[in-house]
Amino acid sequence: MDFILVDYRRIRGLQTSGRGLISLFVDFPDMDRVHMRGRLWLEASSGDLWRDEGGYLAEGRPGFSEDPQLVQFEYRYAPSSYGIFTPERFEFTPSFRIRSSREGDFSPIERRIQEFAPFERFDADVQFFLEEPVQ
Amino acid sequence: MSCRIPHRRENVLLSAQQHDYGEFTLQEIGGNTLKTYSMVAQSMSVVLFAVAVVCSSAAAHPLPGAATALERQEVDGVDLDDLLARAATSARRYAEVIQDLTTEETTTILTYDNAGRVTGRRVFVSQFMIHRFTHGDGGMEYRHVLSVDGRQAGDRELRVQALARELANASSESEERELIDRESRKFGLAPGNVRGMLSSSAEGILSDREGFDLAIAGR
Repeated sequence: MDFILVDYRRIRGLQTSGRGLISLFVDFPDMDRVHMRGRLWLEASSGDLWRDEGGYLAEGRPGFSEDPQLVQFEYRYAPSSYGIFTPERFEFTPSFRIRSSREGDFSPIERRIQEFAPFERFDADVQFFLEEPVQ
Repeated sequence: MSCRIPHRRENVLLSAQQHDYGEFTLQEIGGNTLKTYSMVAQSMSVVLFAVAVVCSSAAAHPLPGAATALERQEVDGVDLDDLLARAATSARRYAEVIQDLTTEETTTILTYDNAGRVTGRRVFVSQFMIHRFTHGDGGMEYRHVLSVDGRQAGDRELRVQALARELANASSESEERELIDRESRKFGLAPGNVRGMLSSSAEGILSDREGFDLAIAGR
């Protein structure tokens, strides 16, 4: 397969509500200096998403030579027989301890790995039993 | 067909070359540099018009519209906007098809202490599916937990029956969400954080293209 790599960087403010990854560190003190960047792998002819690797970074933190990551993520998909790429493996590593007293600590606090078996269509047998009402 | 257009402002020459299928290549030669642009146009006169707009602009940068027409094709023969249009179509197909699929999902959660040592490890095995909202469009992830840390989860049949009854009686989409989140929390499994399982960044790019700086990095 032929994949096109697209680098991205969020330039508009991050949405700080809702259920996305951002909710993991919504109480970070400098939210306006948090940005997301990463890389997509898109199948050239279909545009199917094969891989997405990136993170949320805290920009311009004093004492850091590189912007520290608040969350690192990687999504991997695999071709399926259903005409789409289905999830194969997702990994999330949040690295910010807002609730600890170590505000400058950006070491990982958790790592969540989701692994998916091959997807299948729902397959259900349904039987109806009709009974005559009792007279 | 080709032509060369002298650009008086910065000692730059622009050379236009027509290819098949309405594709044109423009080369800008300034000093020792050579920049190549590609664009699709109906005729050479359209290309010349675009070049004239660029050349006559007093600003250091060409007019936004003309610049987009010229620069969007620049990298490796790939048109970024066309690629994103295909990706958006793919994402719509994905959202539709994934709702009819199911699989077994294994979630492993490792926790670390301040020194980076692993302090906890939990493994959840679930039947994964997308619950379609009765009240509203789309759906959300639902995990029917089968086992936790290798031990079979209790009341599997009863749980799914009770949830199905409650979902049937729900009066709003938010109530449906709450019921499914509650089911996940019963096992300490965080509610789904990826809507429809398409990565949140890809979803963001496709729904808010202007909110991102994008660049083709290769193939």
